[in-house]
Order: sequence, then C-alpha cells, then structure tokens
Amino acid sequence: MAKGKALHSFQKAFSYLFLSALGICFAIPFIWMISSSLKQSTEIFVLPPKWIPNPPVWENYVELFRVIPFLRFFWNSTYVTILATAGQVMSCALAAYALSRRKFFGRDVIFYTLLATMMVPGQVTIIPRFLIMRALGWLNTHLPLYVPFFFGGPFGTFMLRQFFFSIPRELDDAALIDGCSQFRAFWSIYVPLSKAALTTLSLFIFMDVWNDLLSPIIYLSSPDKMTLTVGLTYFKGQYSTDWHLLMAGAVVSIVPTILVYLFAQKHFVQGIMVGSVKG
Amino acid sequence: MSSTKLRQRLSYILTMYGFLTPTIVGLVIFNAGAIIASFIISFQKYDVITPAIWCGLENYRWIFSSSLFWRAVGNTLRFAVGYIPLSIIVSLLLALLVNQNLKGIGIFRTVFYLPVVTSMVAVSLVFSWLFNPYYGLINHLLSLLGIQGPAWLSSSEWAMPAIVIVSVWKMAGYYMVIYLAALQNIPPELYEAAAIDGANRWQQIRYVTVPLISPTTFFISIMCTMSALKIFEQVYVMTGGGPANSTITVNLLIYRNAFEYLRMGRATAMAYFLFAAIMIVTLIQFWGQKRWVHYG
Repeated sequence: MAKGKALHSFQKAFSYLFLSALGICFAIPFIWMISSSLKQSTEIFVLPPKWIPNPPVWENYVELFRVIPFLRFFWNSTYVTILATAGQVMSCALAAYALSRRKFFGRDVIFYTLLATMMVPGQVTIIPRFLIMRALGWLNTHLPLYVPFFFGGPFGTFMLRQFFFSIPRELDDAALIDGCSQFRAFWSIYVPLSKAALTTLSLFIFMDVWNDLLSPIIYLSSPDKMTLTVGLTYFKGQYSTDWHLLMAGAVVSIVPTILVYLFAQKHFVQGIMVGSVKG
Repeated sequence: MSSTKLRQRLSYILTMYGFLTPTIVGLVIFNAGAIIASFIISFQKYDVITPAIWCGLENYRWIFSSSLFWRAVGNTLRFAVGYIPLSIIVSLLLALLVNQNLKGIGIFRTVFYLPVVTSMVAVSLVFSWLFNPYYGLINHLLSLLGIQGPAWLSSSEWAMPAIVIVSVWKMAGYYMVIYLAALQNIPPELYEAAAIDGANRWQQIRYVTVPLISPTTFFISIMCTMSALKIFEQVYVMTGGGPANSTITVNLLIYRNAFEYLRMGRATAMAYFLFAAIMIVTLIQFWGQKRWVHYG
C-alpha cells in the first residue's frame, strides 16, 4: 500500500511538472505581450530582452488612443458586435421554435437545407454577398457587418432547436389550448426557459463578430469606420513597427473577450459540446 | 376535414412560416442564392465596374495552368500536414493532463483555453513580435539553449512552420475541451480492469483510451482539416503570403483576386475548387474511418 501511495505522489508531481511546463508555453505570449506593452520604444530593442519593464510606461495605453482613432475603433466594434449578436440570436430562436414544432409542409426541407449550407465554405458565398452589399449601396457602412445576422444562421438554429426539444411539450400545449398565441408561447415560455442556451449562443456570436477580420476589410474603406481587429493591423508598418503600442493595442482588444470568457466559462464548454454533436 | 379544422391548420402553417421568414430570406439570398450566383460568376470575366462577359471555362483553365495557384495549393497542404496532426496530439495531451483530479486544475484548463477566445489577429501580431529574428523572445530563448534560431517569418523555409505553431497554440484548447468530454465518458472500470491485467499507465492510454475516443479523434480531424484548408487570417496578418510567396494560400489568393485585383470570376472559380477539395477530402476521411474508428 505504501508503495502504491509513493507511486501515486510521484505521478502527481510528474503531472504538475508537465502541466506547468505546458502552462508556461501557453502563457508566455500573453505575459510577453503585457510586458512589451509597458516598455519604452527604446527598451523594446534591448538584448537580452527584459522581462520586467523598468519603469513601466503606462502612458503607452494613452498614446495608443492618440496615434490612431483607437476609441473610435473600439466603439465601432462594440456596437456592430452587439447588433449582430442580438439579430442572430433573435432570428435563430424564432426559426428554432418553428423547426421544433409539429410537422408542417416544408419544415424538414428548410431544416436540411439549412444544415447543408453549413458544409459550404464561406469563400463561395462571400463574393455574391459583397456584390449584394454593393448593389444596396452599403459599402463603407457598418450595415454589411451586422444586417446579415438578422437573417438566421445554421449553427444557432440547430443548437437552439436541440435545446427546445428538451422543453416538455405539455407546457406550451396547455398554454395554446388556453388561447395563447404561438408567439406568446415562444416569448413567455421558451425564451425564459432557454436562458442558458441563449446566453451560450450569444457568447459564441459575440466572439466571432468581435474577432472577425474578413468582413471589415472587404466592406469598409475609410479608416475611421474600421473595427478594432483591423485597427490593430495599422500598427504593423511596412518598414518599422511600434511594437510597444501594438502590444498595448492587442491587450486592449482582447480584454473584452477574455473577461466575457472568465465570467461565463461553463457556457463555453456547453456550446462547444453542442457544436461537436452536430457532425 | 371540416372547414374550421382546415382554417386552423392553415393558420398554423402561416404562423410557422412567419417565424421562419428571416431565416428563409437569409437562406435564399445569402446562402442558396449566393452559392448559385458564385457558380455563374465563375464562368464570367467580371471586374465589378464593367459588365460581366461570359468566358466559358477560361477561369478554370487559368487555375489549372497558373503556377502561383499551385504554389498556393502546395502551401495550403503544407500547412495542413503540419497543423492537423500537431493539433490532435497537443490537444489530446492537454486533455489527458487536465483530466486528472488535481488541485488547481481549473487554472490550467483556463490557461490552455485562453488563446481560443483571443482574436487570431491579435495572436498573429503578438507572435510576429515573438518571432522577430533579432529581438524576439523565441530566438532569445533558443539562444539560451545554444541554438541559433532561424529568421522565422522572413525566411521562406521557416515562415510556414511559424504559422503552424501559432495556429496550434491558438486552437489546441478548443479541441482539448472536446477531448476532455470524451475522456470523461470512459467508464473507470475499464482502466481498473486493464490495471488488474497488468497494463501500465502508457499501455492503458494506448489500448483503452485511444481506441475509445477514436470517434472524437475522427470528428476533430474533420474539423481541423476544414479549418486548415481555409487558412487565411494568420497569413494575411503575419506574412501577407511572403516571403517570395512561400506562405501564400488558396484562401489568400481568393481574397487578393476578388478584393484587390477585382477578378471576381477567377476568385469564384478558385472558391469552387476549394469547396470541391474540401468535399473530396472529407469524403475520403469518412471512407477511411472504418479502418481506425471504433464505435462502442
């Protein structure tokens, strides 16, 4: 027994050692980003590199907002992301409700067509989408970045439909017999009962839109309309780069998504699992 | 059927279609419509400004004769060959490690998952700095081990490996979570039985864990393949396809043709090529799974 215990604690120590080594590998880029963001422009190019900036230059985070319209980018990202998330969650929830009801003409055709579009890579549809936005005169506006999200999406619809199936049908049958409309049943029974699933979906869409690069670079042209992801690339110059400011910008750009993640970890795990049964 | 019943049925259908209206509009315009439009454009010469001209198979002919395109295909495959196995190995390793009942394991799970929620653009920019040949941290750490680090992103030989490293670092946590769920579904009795039969820890992993989670490995390999063949943001931000086209990928070429050179026809033809390639590779994977995937 004593031998087993010794072996066990040896295994434990080994696990911790291995975990810490990998943990450091995964954390170093973050640590280095923060460290670089607090350095002077001259301190950046010092050999051997210094881990702790001395003194830490907090002004970099102020300078950031002076060099490029960083606040503007931040605001653009924020409001586009909020509108896109709201639109997508709403339209997906409506569709998921209909697709989880009693069979009606065309229900399954719509559902399977929706699933099939998930197989098609975005590169195939992006050019016609661009041409549609151009025809509408929406280029160089924020509309193409969020309006399409008001027209549903396969992943969210699929995920919510699965969730709606788990809500006992007797609940809304009773309400419908009492003369409640389908929309009331949806709004006052399904939406409140699906808060967890709706939150999970919102988080996923939030991450996707906030981190998106392609849509802003193809639809927008004037610099003051850009989102944060594109704004960051402005620091990377053709010949020289202000690494300390770029790193400060990167820190500011990832803080919102990391905060959201830390506050809602369990939702992420659920969301990934739903995503993984879809295959 | 009585008329009230018919009316009820009809109103039910109409209500349901009311709920589905946004989705149907989106499906018709942004998906089905766009997929068809894209196919039509791929047979045209279209630069957005002057009217489109039919050109038959010209765009596809260009694809098959362009050395740049095949360079892009080769680079995309080079990326896939590095990214897919490394992602699977690293994420499985992480999952095995964080699947233990140890104090503080939650912190490790968080650390491994954090890159996933960070934007690829921010990650790519930070790694551009880490990979700096002279002042970058990575070459500094290598020099401490007595290794002279390569020029990474400015070397046509090492730029793609650098992009693979970034991508694995960024996505391993995501696949780790999927593996973790699969590992937690394995009944502990199986390990106990293996231990009684004298299997050591490594043999348990090799003969119990790996076969039991093979459906998950299959699923992850499909996801990895799809994302590998579509790689774009990392190269756009880190190298722009360079140096000397050594990291230009199919998707970057599609973007350039469509939105920089306004050659919509060529770009859509390449997009359809990519679509076909993804379908074929996925079909091969489904066909090949019989040989190694065990369904319980």
